[in-house]
Amino acid sequence: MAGGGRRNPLNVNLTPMIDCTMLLVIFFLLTTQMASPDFVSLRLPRPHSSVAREHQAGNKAVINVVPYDDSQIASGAGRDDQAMEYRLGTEHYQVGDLNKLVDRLNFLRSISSDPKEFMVQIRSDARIGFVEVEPIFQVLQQAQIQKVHVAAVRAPGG
Amino acid sequence: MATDYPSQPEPDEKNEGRKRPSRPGRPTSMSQPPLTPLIDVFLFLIIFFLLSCQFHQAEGTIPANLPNTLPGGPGEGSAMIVPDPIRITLTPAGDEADTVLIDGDGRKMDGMAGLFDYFQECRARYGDSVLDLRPVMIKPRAGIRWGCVVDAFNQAVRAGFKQVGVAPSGGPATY
Repeated sequence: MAGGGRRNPLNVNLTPMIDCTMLLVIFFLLTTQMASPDFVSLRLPRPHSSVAREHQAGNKAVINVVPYDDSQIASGAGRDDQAMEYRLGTEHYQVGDLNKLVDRLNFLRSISSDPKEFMVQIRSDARIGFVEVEPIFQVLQQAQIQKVHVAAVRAPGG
Repeated sequence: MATDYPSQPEPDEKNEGRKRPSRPGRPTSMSQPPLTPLIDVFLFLIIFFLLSCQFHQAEGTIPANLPNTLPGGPGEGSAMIVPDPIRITLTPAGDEADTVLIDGDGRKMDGMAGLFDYFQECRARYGDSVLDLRPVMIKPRAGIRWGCVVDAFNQAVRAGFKQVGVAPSGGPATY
Protein backbone atom coordinates (compact mmCIF):
# COMPACT_ATOMS: atom_id res chain seq x y z
CA MET A 1 0.00 0.00 0.00
CA ALA A 2 1.36 3.44 -0.89
CA GLY A 3 2.26 5.72 2.00
CA GLY A 4 3.53 3.01 4.21
CA GLY A 5 1.77 1.00 6.79
CA ARG A 6 -0.24 2.06 9.82
CA ARG A 7 1.37 4.49 12.17
CA ASN A 8 1.79 3.61 15.75
CA PRO A 9 -0.34 5.85 17.97
CA LEU A 10 1.83 8.37 19.82
CA ASN A 11 1.86 7.56 23.48
CA VAL A 12 2.91 10.44 25.71
CA ASN A 13 4.08 9.42 29.13
CA LEU A 14 1.99 11.55 31.47
CA THR A 15 3.38 10.26 34.74
CA PRO A 16 6.16 12.87 35.22
CA MET A 17 3.74 15.65 34.40
CA ILE A 18 1.23 14.39 36.95
CA ASP A 19 4.04 14.08 39.50
CA CYS A 20 5.09 17.68 38.93
CA THR A 21 1.53 18.89 39.04
CA MET A 22 0.89 17.06 42.28
CA LEU A 23 4.01 18.56 43.82
CA LEU A 24 2.95 22.03 42.74
CA VAL A 25 -0.52 21.57 44.20
CA ILE A 26 0.95 20.35 47.51
CA PHE A 27 3.41 23.25 47.54
CA PHE A 28 0.66 25.81 47.03
CA LEU A 29 -1.56 24.14 49.60
CA LEU A 30 1.18 24.42 52.21
CA THR A 31 2.44 27.90 51.42
CA THR A 32 -0.65 29.89 50.59
CA GLN A 33 -2.37 32.16 53.02
CA MET A 34 -6.03 32.26 52.23
CA ALA A 35 -7.57 35.66 51.92
CA SER A 36 -8.91 36.93 55.22
CA PRO A 37 -10.45 40.29 56.00
CA ASP A 38 -8.20 40.47 59.07
CA PHE A 39 -5.03 40.26 57.06
CA VAL A 40 -4.82 43.03 54.52
CA SER A 41 -1.74 42.86 52.35
CA LEU A 42 0.73 45.27 53.95
CA ARG A 43 4.44 45.89 54.12
CA LEU A 44 4.88 45.14 57.80
CA PRO A 45 7.66 46.65 59.93
CA ARG A 46 10.87 44.64 60.20
CA PRO A 47 12.34 45.50 63.58
CA HIS A 48 15.95 44.69 64.43
CA SER A 49 16.14 41.44 66.41
CA SER A 50 12.39 41.09 66.21
CA VAL A 51 10.66 39.44 69.15
CA ALA A 52 7.43 39.08 67.21
CA ARG A 53 5.90 35.65 67.67
CA GLU A 54 3.02 33.83 66.12
CA HIS A 55 -0.10 34.38 68.17
CA GLN A 56 -3.20 32.33 67.57
CA ALA A 57 -5.52 33.62 70.28
CA GLY A 58 -9.02 34.16 69.03
CA ASN A 59 -10.06 36.67 71.67
CA LYS A 60 -8.90 39.66 69.72
CA ALA A 61 -9.75 42.27 67.14
CA VAL A 62 -7.39 43.17 64.33
CA ILE A 63 -7.26 46.79 63.21
CA ASN A 64 -5.60 47.31 59.85
CA VAL A 65 -4.25 50.73 58.94
CA VAL A 66 -4.48 50.56 55.17
CA PRO A 67 -2.18 52.71 53.03
CA TYR A 68 -2.89 54.06 49.58
CA ASP A 69 -1.87 51.66 46.87
CA ASP A 70 0.80 52.48 44.32
CA SER A 71 -1.62 53.57 41.62
CA GLN A 72 -3.35 55.99 43.99
CA ILE A 73 0.00 57.41 45.07
CA ALA A 74 1.06 57.79 41.43
CA SER A 75 -2.18 59.60 40.61
CA GLY A 76 -1.70 61.95 43.55
CA ALA A 77 -4.72 60.73 45.52
CA GLY A 78 -2.54 60.15 48.56
CA ARG A 79 0.99 59.81 49.83
CA ASP A 80 2.80 56.70 50.92
CA ASP A 81 2.96 57.92 54.52
CA GLN A 82 -0.78 58.51 54.70
CA ALA A 83 -3.44 56.06 55.78
CA MET A 84 -6.36 55.60 53.43
CA GLU A 85 -8.66 54.02 56.00
CA TYR A 86 -8.88 51.72 58.99
CA ARG A 87 -10.34 48.26 58.71
CA LEU A 88 -11.74 46.13 61.46
CA GLY A 89 -12.84 42.81 60.00
CA THR A 90 -14.89 43.62 56.93
CA GLU A 91 -15.81 47.08 58.11
CA HIS A 92 -14.11 50.19 56.82
CA TYR A 93 -13.62 53.36 58.87
CA GLN A 94 -12.56 56.79 57.79
CA VAL A 95 -9.33 58.00 59.35
CA GLY A 96 -11.14 60.79 61.19
CA ASP A 97 -14.16 58.74 62.19
CA LEU A 98 -13.04 57.16 65.43
CA ASN A 99 -16.23 57.06 67.49
CA LYS A 100 -17.65 54.24 65.40
CA LEU A 101 -14.42 52.34 65.90
CA VAL A 102 -14.65 52.77 69.67
CA ASP A 103 -18.25 51.56 69.63
CA ARG A 104 -17.35 48.56 67.52
CA LEU A 105 -14.45 47.59 69.78
CA ASN A 106 -16.67 47.90 72.84
CA PHE A 107 -19.23 45.67 71.18
CA LEU A 108 -16.64 43.07 70.17
CA ARG A 109 -15.25 43.02 73.67
CA SER A 110 -18.69 42.63 75.20
CA ILE A 111 -19.42 39.55 73.11
CA SER A 112 -15.97 38.03 73.46
CA SER A 113 -15.41 34.89 75.48
CA ASP A 114 -13.22 36.71 78.03
CA PRO A 115 -13.69 40.49 77.96
CA LYS A 116 -10.88 41.05 80.47
CA GLU A 117 -8.36 39.36 78.20
CA PHE A 118 -9.67 40.97 75.05
CA MET A 119 -6.84 42.43 73.03
CA VAL A 120 -6.33 44.44 69.90
CA GLN A 121 -3.80 43.71 67.22
CA ILE A 122 -2.57 46.71 65.25
CA ARG A 123 -1.45 46.01 61.69
CA SER A 124 -0.04 48.91 59.79
CA ASP A 125 2.23 49.45 56.85
CA ALA A 126 5.76 50.36 57.95
CA ARG A 127 5.86 53.40 55.65
CA ILE A 128 2.83 55.07 57.16
CA GLY A 129 3.58 58.06 59.36
CA PHE A 130 2.97 57.59 63.06
CA VAL A 131 0.49 60.46 63.10
CA GLU A 132 -1.85 58.24 61.05
CA VAL A 133 -1.63 55.35 63.53
CA GLU A 134 -1.75 57.52 66.62
CA PRO A 135 -5.57 57.80 66.62
CA ILE A 136 -5.75 54.02 67.11
CA PHE A 137 -4.05 54.45 70.48
CA GLN A 138 -6.59 57.12 71.37
CA VAL A 139 -9.33 54.69 70.40
CA LEU A 140 -7.83 52.03 72.65
CA GLN A 141 -7.64 54.49 75.51
CA GLN A 142 -11.27 55.46 75.02
CA ALA A 143 -12.33 51.84 74.82
CA GLN A 144 -10.19 51.09 77.90
CA ILE A 145 -8.27 48.33 76.19
CA GLN A 146 -4.73 47.83 77.42
CA LYS A 147 -3.65 44.60 75.81
CA VAL A 148 -2.07 45.45 72.49
CA HIS A 149 -0.25 43.35 69.97
CA VAL A 150 1.72 45.05 67.24
CA ALA A 151 2.15 43.14 63.99
CA ALA A 152 5.67 42.87 62.63
CA VAL A 153 7.79 40.51 60.61
CA ARG A 154 9.26 37.71 62.66
CA ALA A 155 13.00 37.15 62.88
CA PRO A 156 14.28 34.21 60.82
CA GLY A 157 13.48 31.09 62.79
CA GLY A 158 11.33 33.06 65.19
CA MET B 1 -9.16 -17.00 -8.39
CA ALA B 2 -9.67 -15.80 -5.00
CA THR B 3 -6.81 -16.26 -2.68
CA ASP B 4 -7.80 -17.05 0.78
CA TYR B 5 -5.49 -14.80 2.81
CA PRO B 6 -5.65 -15.06 6.49
CA SER B 7 -7.60 -12.10 7.78
CA GLN B 8 -5.65 -9.34 9.56
CA PRO B 9 -6.25 -9.45 13.24
CA GLU B 10 -8.12 -6.58 14.82
CA PRO B 11 -5.93 -4.22 16.85
CA ASP B 12 -7.16 -5.62 20.11
CA GLU B 13 -6.64 -9.10 18.94
CA LYS B 14 -3.18 -8.08 17.78
CA ASN B 15 -2.30 -6.65 21.13
CA GLU B 16 -3.73 -9.58 22.87
CA GLY B 17 -1.50 -11.68 20.79
CA ARG B 18 1.58 -9.86 22.07
CA LYS B 19 0.66 -10.18 25.67
CA ARG B 20 2.33 -12.65 27.84
CA PRO B 21 0.15 -15.48 28.84
CA SER B 22 -1.72 -14.45 31.93
CA ARG B 23 -0.96 -16.17 35.13
CA PRO B 24 -3.72 -17.49 37.21
CA GLY B 25 -5.02 -15.02 39.75
CA ARG B 26 -3.94 -11.90 37.81
CA PRO B 27 -6.31 -9.61 35.93
CA THR B 28 -6.25 -10.43 32.34
CA SER B 29 -6.67 -6.90 30.97
CA MET B 30 -4.36 -4.00 31.94
CA SER B 31 -7.03 -1.32 31.94
CA GLN B 32 -5.67 2.21 32.54
CA PRO B 33 -7.96 4.70 34.24
CA PRO B 34 -8.56 7.84 32.19
CA LEU B 35 -6.08 10.46 33.43
CA THR B 36 -7.36 13.41 31.45
CA PRO B 37 -9.97 14.60 33.99
CA LEU B 38 -7.39 14.25 36.75
CA ILE B 39 -4.90 16.41 34.89
CA ASP B 40 -7.63 18.92 34.13
CA VAL B 41 -8.52 19.22 37.79
CA PHE B 42 -4.88 19.58 38.83
CA LEU B 43 -4.27 22.26 36.26
CA PHE B 44 -7.36 24.13 37.40
CA LEU B 45 -6.13 23.90 40.99
CA ILE B 46 -2.72 25.26 40.04
CA ILE B 47 -4.25 28.15 38.11
CA PHE B 48 -6.55 28.87 41.05
CA PHE B 49 -3.66 28.92 43.52
CA LEU B 50 -1.46 30.98 41.24
CA LEU B 51 -4.14 33.63 40.90
CA SER B 52 -5.42 33.68 44.44
CA CYS B 53 -2.49 32.86 46.66
CA GLN B 54 -0.67 35.27 48.81
CA PHE B 55 2.62 33.91 50.03
CA HIS B 56 3.00 33.53 53.76
CA GLN B 57 4.85 36.44 55.26
CA ALA B 58 6.64 35.50 58.44
CA GLU B 59 4.22 37.62 60.40
CA GLY B 60 4.05 37.75 64.16
CA THR B 61 2.97 40.08 66.89
CA ILE B 62 4.84 41.90 69.62
CA PRO B 63 2.75 41.71 72.80
CA ALA B 64 2.63 44.51 75.37
CA ASN B 65 0.28 46.31 77.70
CA LEU B 66 -0.35 50.00 77.38
CA PRO B 67 0.60 51.92 80.52
CA ASN B 68 -2.30 52.29 82.87
CA THR B 69 -3.35 55.90 82.80
CA LEU B 70 -7.02 55.24 83.39
CA PRO B 71 -8.97 55.87 86.57
CA GLY B 72 -9.59 52.74 88.54
CA GLY B 73 -6.35 51.10 87.52
CA PRO B 74 -4.14 49.05 89.79
CA GLY B 75 -1.92 52.04 90.62
CA GLU B 76 -4.73 54.22 91.86
CA GLY B 77 -5.52 54.29 95.50
CA SER B 78 -2.70 51.96 96.43
CA ALA B 79 0.36 52.86 98.45
CA MET B 80 2.66 51.68 95.67
CA ILE B 81 4.32 54.54 93.87
CA VAL B 82 4.65 54.03 90.18
CA PRO B 83 7.92 55.61 89.05
CA ASP B 84 8.12 57.94 86.11
CA PRO B 85 8.14 56.32 82.71
CA ILE B 86 11.30 55.77 80.77
CA ARG B 87 10.97 58.38 78.06
CA ILE B 88 12.17 57.63 74.57
CA THR B 89 11.92 60.29 71.89
CA LEU B 90 12.26 59.50 68.20
CA THR B 91 13.15 62.43 65.97
CA PRO B 92 13.61 62.24 62.21
CA ALA B 93 17.18 62.95 61.13
CA GLY B 94 17.92 64.24 57.67
CA ASP B 95 16.00 63.37 54.56
CA GLU B 96 16.15 59.63 55.02
CA ALA B 97 12.83 58.40 56.34
CA ASP B 98 14.45 55.58 58.28
CA THR B 99 17.12 57.63 60.01
CA VAL B 100 16.12 58.67 63.51
CA LEU B 101 17.68 60.29 66.50
CA ILE B 102 16.87 58.36 69.65
CA ASP B 103 16.83 60.16 72.92
CA GLY B 104 16.30 58.27 76.16
CA ASP B 105 15.71 60.46 79.21
CA GLY B 106 17.98 63.11 77.71
CA ARG B 107 20.67 60.70 76.51
CA LYS B 108 21.42 60.18 72.83
CA MET B 109 21.34 56.61 71.57
CA ASP B 110 23.33 54.95 68.87
CA GLY B 111 20.61 53.31 66.80
CA MET B 112 18.20 50.61 67.94
CA ALA B 113 21.02 48.50 69.32
CA GLY B 114 21.96 51.43 71.55
CA LEU B 115 18.35 51.72 72.66
CA PHE B 116 18.27 48.07 73.65
CA ASP B 117 21.51 48.56 75.60
CA TYR B 118 19.92 51.51 77.36
CA PHE B 119 16.92 49.39 78.39
CA GLN B 120 19.29 46.73 79.69
CA GLU B 121 21.11 49.40 81.69
CA CYS B 122 17.81 50.53 83.23
CA ARG B 123 17.06 46.95 84.16
CA ALA B 124 20.48 46.51 85.74
CA ARG B 125 20.19 49.83 87.60
CA TYR B 126 16.69 49.40 89.04
CA GLY B 127 16.37 45.64 89.13
CA ASP B 128 13.89 43.35 87.42
CA SER B 129 10.96 44.96 89.20
CA VAL B 130 11.36 47.91 86.85
CA LEU B 131 10.03 45.72 84.05
CA ASP B 132 6.61 45.52 85.67
CA LEU B 133 6.47 48.84 87.43
CA ARG B 134 8.05 51.35 85.15
CA PRO B 135 6.44 51.83 81.78
CA VAL B 136 8.29 52.80 78.64
CA MET B 137 6.79 55.73 76.77
CA ILE B 138 7.84 56.20 73.19
CA LYS B 139 7.27 59.64 71.78
CA PRO B 140 7.66 59.82 68.02
CA ARG B 141 8.07 63.36 66.73
CA ALA B 142 6.34 64.53 63.58
CA GLY B 143 7.61 62.77 60.48
CA ILE B 144 8.47 59.48 62.15
CA ARG B 145 7.13 56.45 60.35
CA TRP B 146 5.37 53.53 61.95
CA GLY B 147 8.25 51.17 61.16
CA CYS B 148 10.60 53.15 63.45
CA VAL B 149 8.04 53.21 66.25
CA VAL B 150 7.59 49.45 66.04
CA ASP B 151 11.36 49.03 66.09
CA ALA B 152 11.63 51.00 69.34
CA PHE B 153 8.57 49.16 70.72
CA ASN B 154 10.27 45.88 69.84
CA GLN B 155 13.46 46.82 71.71
CA ALA B 156 11.47 47.64 74.86
CA VAL B 157 9.60 44.33 74.77
CA ARG B 158 12.83 42.53 73.91
CA ALA B 159 14.44 43.99 77.03
CA GLY B 160 11.55 42.57 79.05
CA PHE B 161 9.38 45.61 79.72
CA LYS B 162 5.73 44.73 80.18
CA GLN B 163 4.15 48.15 79.77
CA VAL B 164 5.03 50.00 76.62
CA GLY B 165 3.07 53.01 75.47
CA VAL B 166 3.20 55.49 72.66
CA ALA B 167 2.78 59.18 73.38
CA PRO B 168 1.08 61.54 70.95
CA SER B 169 3.48 62.99 68.41
CA GLY B 170 2.22 66.55 68.85
CA GLY B 171 2.32 68.71 71.93
CA PRO B 172 5.24 69.63 74.13
CA ALA B 173 8.53 67.82 74.15
CA THR B 174 7.89 66.70 77.72
CA TYR B 175 5.11 64.25 78.45
